[in-house]
Amino acid sequence: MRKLLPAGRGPLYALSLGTLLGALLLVGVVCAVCTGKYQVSPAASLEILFQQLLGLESTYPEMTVNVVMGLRIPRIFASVLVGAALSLSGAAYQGVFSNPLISPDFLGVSSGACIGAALAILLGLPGGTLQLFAFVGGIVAVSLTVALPTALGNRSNIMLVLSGVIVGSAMSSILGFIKYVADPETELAAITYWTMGGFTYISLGDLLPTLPFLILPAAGLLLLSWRIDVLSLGEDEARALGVNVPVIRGLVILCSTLLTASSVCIAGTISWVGLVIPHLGRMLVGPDHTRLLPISALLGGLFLLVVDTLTRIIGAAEMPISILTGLVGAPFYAWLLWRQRRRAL
Amino acid sequence: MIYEVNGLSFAYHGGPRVLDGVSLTLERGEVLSILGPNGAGKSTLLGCMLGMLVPQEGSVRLEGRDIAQLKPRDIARLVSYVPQNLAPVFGYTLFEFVLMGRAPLIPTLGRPGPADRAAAREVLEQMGLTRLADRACTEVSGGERQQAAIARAIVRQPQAVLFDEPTAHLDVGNQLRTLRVLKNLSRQGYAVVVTTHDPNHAILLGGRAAILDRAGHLTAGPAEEIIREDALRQVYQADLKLQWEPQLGRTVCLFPNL
Amino acid sequence: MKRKLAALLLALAMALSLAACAGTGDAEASPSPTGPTVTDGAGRVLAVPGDGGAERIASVYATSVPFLVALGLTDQVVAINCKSVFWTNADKHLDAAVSVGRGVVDLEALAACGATVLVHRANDSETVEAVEKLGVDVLCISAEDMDGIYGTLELLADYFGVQDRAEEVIAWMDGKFDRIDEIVAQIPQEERVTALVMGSELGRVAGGDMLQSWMIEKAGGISSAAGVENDSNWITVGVETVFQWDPDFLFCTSSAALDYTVDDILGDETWSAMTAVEEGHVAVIPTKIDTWDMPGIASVLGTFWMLHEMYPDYFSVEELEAEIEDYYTFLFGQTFDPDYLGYTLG
Repeated sequence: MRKLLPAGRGPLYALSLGTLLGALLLVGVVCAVCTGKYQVSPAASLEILFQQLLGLESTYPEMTVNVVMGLRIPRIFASVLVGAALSLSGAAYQGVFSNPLISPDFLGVSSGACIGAALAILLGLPGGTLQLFAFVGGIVAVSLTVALPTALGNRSNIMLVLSGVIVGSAMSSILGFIKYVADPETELAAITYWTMGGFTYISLGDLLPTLPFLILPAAGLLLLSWRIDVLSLGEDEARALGVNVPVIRGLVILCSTLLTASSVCIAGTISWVGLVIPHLGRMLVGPDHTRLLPISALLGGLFLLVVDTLTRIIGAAEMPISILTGLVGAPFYAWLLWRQRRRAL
Repeated sequence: MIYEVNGLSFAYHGGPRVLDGVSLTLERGEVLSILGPNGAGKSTLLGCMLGMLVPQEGSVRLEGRDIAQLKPRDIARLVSYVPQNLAPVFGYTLFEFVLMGRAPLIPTLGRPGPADRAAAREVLEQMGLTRLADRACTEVSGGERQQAAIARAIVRQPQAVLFDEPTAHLDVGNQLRTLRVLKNLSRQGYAVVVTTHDPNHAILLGGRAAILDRAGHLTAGPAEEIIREDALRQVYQADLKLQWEPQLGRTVCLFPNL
Repeated sequence: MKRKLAALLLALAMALSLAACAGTGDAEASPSPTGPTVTDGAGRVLAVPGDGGAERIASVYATSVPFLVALGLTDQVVAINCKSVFWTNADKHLDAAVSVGRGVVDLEALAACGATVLVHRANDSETVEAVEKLGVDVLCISAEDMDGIYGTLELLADYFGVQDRAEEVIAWMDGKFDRIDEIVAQIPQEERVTALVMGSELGRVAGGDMLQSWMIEKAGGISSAAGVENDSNWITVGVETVFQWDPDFLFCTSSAALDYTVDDILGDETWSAMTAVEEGHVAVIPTKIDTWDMPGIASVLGTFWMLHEMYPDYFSVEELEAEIEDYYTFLFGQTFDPDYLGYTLG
């Protein structure tokens, strides 16, 4: 893919771009802390933040502190993490399958997680259990997708993609069945809302247990990033370059799946981010994953932070975040394809 | 002795034998051209020699060691492979593309270091690709991509380089340039294996040749002994003609009239 | 070997996640409140808020609206989600209230409107947890059936300190149901008819345990769906089953959007052999913008309407009109034009 900026995309260029994005993200976070429907002045928001961080006595009403610390901080934290995780796993998946058109959920993570969550809703289980069900559902779905080609005796990439299609459609049937037996007034509404994704009821307590499942796989992918380059040349070429394809590919799938499943666990399914952000990253720094992965993570975190902040302030009642990511993502993707209409991806 | 292939037989899952009792040897600095019609199993033979395909019978020994006992990384350090059709999906620069040839020398979680970069720059220079180093490999011509793939193959300085029909998708000018590069590689001491279906290419490269027929039998020997009119006619099922060309000082293979 | 390692890693990851997520599940036990308490529709015990200080009520649960109106609590409502414009047109407080979501709560908007209590449905622990964390009380109501309707009136009355008004409303409802019982008692057994309430699509019906079926029985009818239950939910039994039951009266709900019309049914050859269709006894329960078959005080009116539809000789259209007038006068202090509400009688 042709890069957006013609200047040399050496390590120095990527480093300065990374620093710029990091700074933007920091500014974005500070702005987001100060923004919302509840009237708190930016100065007060920041003061509350520092008072809480330093453990000082709060000089603000309890509700104001609750809004800043209990609502805004967890959401900001979560949206940045989820955006980064989805983009990172999207970029890694696209690299490892040499296919820039796939999104992180093509092996069935999201549909599996939706089934897990829908089951938890159907069984009327409490909040924390729902996250666990979603996580396990996502992992189970990907395990099925990965196991199927082995069972059929053909472990090529294309087989894995087809297996993803098979498991995906089986999963949507199961989800359809769960929706069919769900109470339309309450359970169905909850399932639909959950599958649309969002950060509405996020709390730090929900977020902290998922942190290891975001940080460890992310670190794993960054360590493997140059191997992903080699793997992205295609299975045979990678093999001839001495890469143990099944093991490295397995590790990348494991890390990406953990990232996506944790994201779905936190925020439900959020469309487009994992597909579009890696494209944008490739336009900025080229396909080299040692640069693409960190840049995608930063871009994704920034993107979802902005979009979630928009959902918080637009309209009387909050709109599901996937509506906005779709509204932004779909035209952007069309524009990308138009730009590359005569070029290889 | 770099390669020692002994009594190799291979069949794809449930299919007929593609290779049947194939044996050959390869020394440093030797060129081996493997001739054969489409579908005769030339790529399959290369697959076995790279350790990607596991033969039902026979063995492949690489520097005296059974290839089945070697890890992909160890094989890749000794042997490079240039595939037939390069269709890169992502637009890595030619420099990044060539640098990936160092993969077998770099630990799994590592990244290329200064020595790797220097080697890549040197090989690009050697192949005359320096001016294209920052161009995307999806945007250069097929011939240039082929040169880059060769650069990627030799950047780790292997013992042998295996080419799967390196001239198949090139125009005649690029075919000639590629053959010159191959000949040069053998002069530099690399063992070179080339599959091709054009007898003239085998004659040009000289050295050793082998003919693989549809039954999977391989006959190998010095090029001038192996490339004979009757053998070519039989294996290609066509009235090909071999003729001494005094001006060139070698034999050429000619098509009959239509 | 490497595959074993990968499998081990995966197993480890799963085990870790189980351990990690398990920790988040247990809710903290809230300290038991002192002073007067109520037990809400979800079985939670809440302290009754201070002495007479006006509360600021928010809700995203449309079912709560008729109860808040009936108990005269709308002047304390700051955020609401109404099912139709009927409520916001009829009540200036509801009209002035903001929206903090439909079904799902926009937490920051809830904080911004300064609500002190959220009235919510009973089976949504996620919302309860998130809103309580914000420092806003949550009062869950469960009004699926007639007991639930009475229970909700009493619960809201105890919590908001409007017991006198609740007694008035309950007495009014009791009086109306007594009158219905008296009329039904005059109807001989052999004149009793069967009836069914159909939902948003053909073949989807109100189960025997739903309020709609209770209303049929209360109005002296025989519920065709008796014994067919789906946990107080609509249930798709299929058109064939409806034909099999062949009720004398087919009522269509007004609590959900219908994907068919009464004229569709009356004009459809396939349906023509049904008793209800032959007799022209197919009708939508009034009204377009108010809903007489939703859990609430209006279910009294729905029952009166069914009584008139099934037994016009025992309960005339004039008597029904008088009851409608009485209901709206009692709740809103005014009557509404049938064209505006969207119904015709007779």
